[in-house]
Amino acid sequence: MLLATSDFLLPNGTFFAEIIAFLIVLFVLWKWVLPPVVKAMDDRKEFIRSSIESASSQKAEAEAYKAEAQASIDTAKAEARSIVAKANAVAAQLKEEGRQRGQDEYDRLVALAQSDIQQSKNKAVEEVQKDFGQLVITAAEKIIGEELDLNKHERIINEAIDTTSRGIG
Amino acid sequence: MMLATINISVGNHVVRHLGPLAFNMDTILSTVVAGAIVLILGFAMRVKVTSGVPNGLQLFFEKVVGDIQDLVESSIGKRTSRLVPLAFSLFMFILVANWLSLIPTGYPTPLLPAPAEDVNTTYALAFIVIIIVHAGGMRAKRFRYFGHFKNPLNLVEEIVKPVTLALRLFGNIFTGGLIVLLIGALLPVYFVPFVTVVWKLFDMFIGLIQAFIFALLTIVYYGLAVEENH
Repeated sequence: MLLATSDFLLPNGTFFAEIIAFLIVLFVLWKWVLPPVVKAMDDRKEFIRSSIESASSQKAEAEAYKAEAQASIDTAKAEARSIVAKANAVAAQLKEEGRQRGQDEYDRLVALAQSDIQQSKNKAVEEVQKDFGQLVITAAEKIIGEELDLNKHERIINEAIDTTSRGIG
Repeated sequence: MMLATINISVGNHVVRHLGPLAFNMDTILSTVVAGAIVLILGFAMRVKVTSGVPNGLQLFFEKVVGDIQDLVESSIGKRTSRLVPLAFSLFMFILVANWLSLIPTGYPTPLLPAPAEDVNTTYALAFIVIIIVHAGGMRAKRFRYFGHFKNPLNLVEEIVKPVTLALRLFGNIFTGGLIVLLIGALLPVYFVPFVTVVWKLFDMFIGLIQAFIFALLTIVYYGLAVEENH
């Protein structure tokens, strides 16, 4: 069985005491407890915000450095490529020059050898021709039994030499 | 058949008279203890307050303040309002006051009943809230604020608001205490401790919810009062 007093839901003097008590709590919390909490929260928020900001600015800086480094690498690569190309060109040129020089030397040697041969040949022919005139005269003397005069019979002798030379040449 | 014959009396207080006024001394004592606990926690937190890594107590305060700031912002659009200290104080005070009754301080009449088991406490809180709400409305809208009361339904609503605010808290907390009494009176004695512990854990939850609802409704009512085009 529940017994309730008649003024169960009616306030009495306690009402005023409660108002005063709560106002004191409210005032103290408002003046002395909440400000440091709110300040700590704001400070932390500000710290986090500035940290994020500096992190993002550092990231941007890092990216700029990276781009710069990439540009340097690209330049270096391009330079390296051009150097290699140049070197290849120079090598090809040197090779061509070497080949040309070799060819020239060869040609010169061949030409030299040919002219030597020709000279020797001419000399030999000349010598043979020189001896041959006399030989023909001697042979003819023996055959016809009389002396031939070089001046008298020059035409005949020259004909014989020419014929013989053609045979040799 | 034997009915429980124990008399459970409710609404009985240790009353002292001062002039024409009667004071419920048990409620006042509980209120003072609850208020002291709130302030001691507040100052204990303040001593070690830091913008670095907060300790558990500061974390709790920051959580409550942050949530209240969010609610205030969603209700009236700015975080830094005088409403924040009011809602914060209401929440902290009501929470500690409600949880005070978890401490067993005597049966059937505890030395420290939950202050909200007395309508004086809840009327007082609702009175303060409604004064501040109307003051806020008048400051925000000047005389236009009274145009709101031309509709009798609105007038009724404004009268009902503080009453429901007070009686909701009172009803929930009063019932919590009453059930502890009923458990003790009606259950076999060897069940009583177990069931009481289970109930008090649940009551703790109710105490938290009611503290939150009181603070939330304060913010909502204030938001409605200062809101334009209402």
